[in-house]
Amino acid sequence: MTASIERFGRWLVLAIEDMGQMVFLTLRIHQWMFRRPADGKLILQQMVRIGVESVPVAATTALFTGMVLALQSGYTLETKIKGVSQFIGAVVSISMVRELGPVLTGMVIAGRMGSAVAAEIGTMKVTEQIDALHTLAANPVKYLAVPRFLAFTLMLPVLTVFADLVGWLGGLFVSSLKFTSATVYIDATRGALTTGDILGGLLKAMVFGALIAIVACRQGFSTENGAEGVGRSTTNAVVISFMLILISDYFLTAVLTAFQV
Amino acid sequence: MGDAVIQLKRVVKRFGDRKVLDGLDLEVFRGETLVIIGRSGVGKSTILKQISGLAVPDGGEVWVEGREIDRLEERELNELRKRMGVVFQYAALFDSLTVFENVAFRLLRDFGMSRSKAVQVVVQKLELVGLKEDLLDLKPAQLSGGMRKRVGLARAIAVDPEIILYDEPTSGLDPVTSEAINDLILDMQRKLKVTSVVVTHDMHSAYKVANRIAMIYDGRIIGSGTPKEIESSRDPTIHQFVTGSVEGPMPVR
Repeated sequence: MTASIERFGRWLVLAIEDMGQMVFLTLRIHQWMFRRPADGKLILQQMVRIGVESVPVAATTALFTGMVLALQSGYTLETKIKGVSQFIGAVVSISMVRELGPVLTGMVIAGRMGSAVAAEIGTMKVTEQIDALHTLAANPVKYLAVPRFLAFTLMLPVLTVFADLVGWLGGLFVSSLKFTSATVYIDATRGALTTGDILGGLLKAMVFGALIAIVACRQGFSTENGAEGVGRSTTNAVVISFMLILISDYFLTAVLTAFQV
Repeated sequence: MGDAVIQLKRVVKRFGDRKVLDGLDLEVFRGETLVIIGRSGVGKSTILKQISGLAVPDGGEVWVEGREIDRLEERELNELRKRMGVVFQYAALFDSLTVFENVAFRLLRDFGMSRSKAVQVVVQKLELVGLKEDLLDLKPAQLSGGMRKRVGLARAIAVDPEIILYDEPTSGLDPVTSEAINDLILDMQRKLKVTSVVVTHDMHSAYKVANRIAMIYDGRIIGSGTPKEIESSRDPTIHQFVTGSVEGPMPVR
């Protein structure tokens, strides 16, 4: 009993320290963001890598999510509530835009790019490339973290818009195949979806992007102990990002609904 | 002797419970090449990290060019680093950049040099380290270990530093390349009047490039002198090290 309390205590201290480090890194990123040189090329490179190259995987995820959503909601609305399948368009679009679009895109990007960034920076750390940056008078936060932070934060909303659209189209396809006509699906979407829903979802995506960037960079910078350490940082980056996305999603939703968005 | 460019005063550095540097005193004079010798893991590289401001001492003071390193703001430290080149043990080239971008890193970023001018400088520096310009567009992963090390050296000397810190410059290199690196270290000193600190356990290299050799043991400098003095030292620990003997005060771990 005492041992497990002790273990929990130690874990809690580490978790709080980790949070502190992440807050500190966030501050440092903002402090360096507006200093010269502007590093436009580095930012663009990262935006392509994190955004453009993630389109296929984000699209596939969204497509099948939209499709299964239409299938499940169509089945539920028809068999359990009986005869209200004309609302599938509303269910799919609202769920995608407010919730699944940003959350699933966030998770896919955390898995695909958060891990890659943690591994990349972690490898740089253990092979003294971070030290080399210092000695070449380049601040690693400025050179590595700022471009990645901007790329994640700006590209996640873009990917989310795209995912929303693909998911909605997937829903349209399944719904018109099995339940209602396309016009009914589109009308239901029109009647239910508001600009507020879309903006709220994009705000979430932006926050998730920032979280993934901070977690990945922080894990990378704190990597120790060679290849094994790089592996650990990579896993941690994904696991912590997933948890933070889900936890912050609840609180963001709570705030947004409180303001009736 | 001339003025001290680098001074370490009673420097202490701990890693966990282990005191790697324990009240270490060291001075490096302008224009000299000081070679620090000692066994693996005794804190030779740690000394270089203290000088380049990569690590903060847990006690004592580190002075470079009359400024105390750990009291400097990052901006001031970076100004000082512009006059300093560091050659890392495993080169520490940036994987994502080409050879050209690695060597030209500071020229393009800090000195605002045009690309065409930077190419000229990079080609000239590569020549100095015995590499040809057809490497410019290769990535570090496409180079051999020895080539990588030389590119790392070219990167360190790209901005004509006044101080160069070498971490094991010849380790892992074949004898011919090692000799070329040794010649280069000598050249840098003779032609450019560079102040150098070389960390190594390669005694052949140490004798060749050093004006002065200092030996570190148990976190302190236990003796220093010209290569001749070190070679004929009566100190049992130094004698054991330079002759590579199993017998002596240093336990074989």
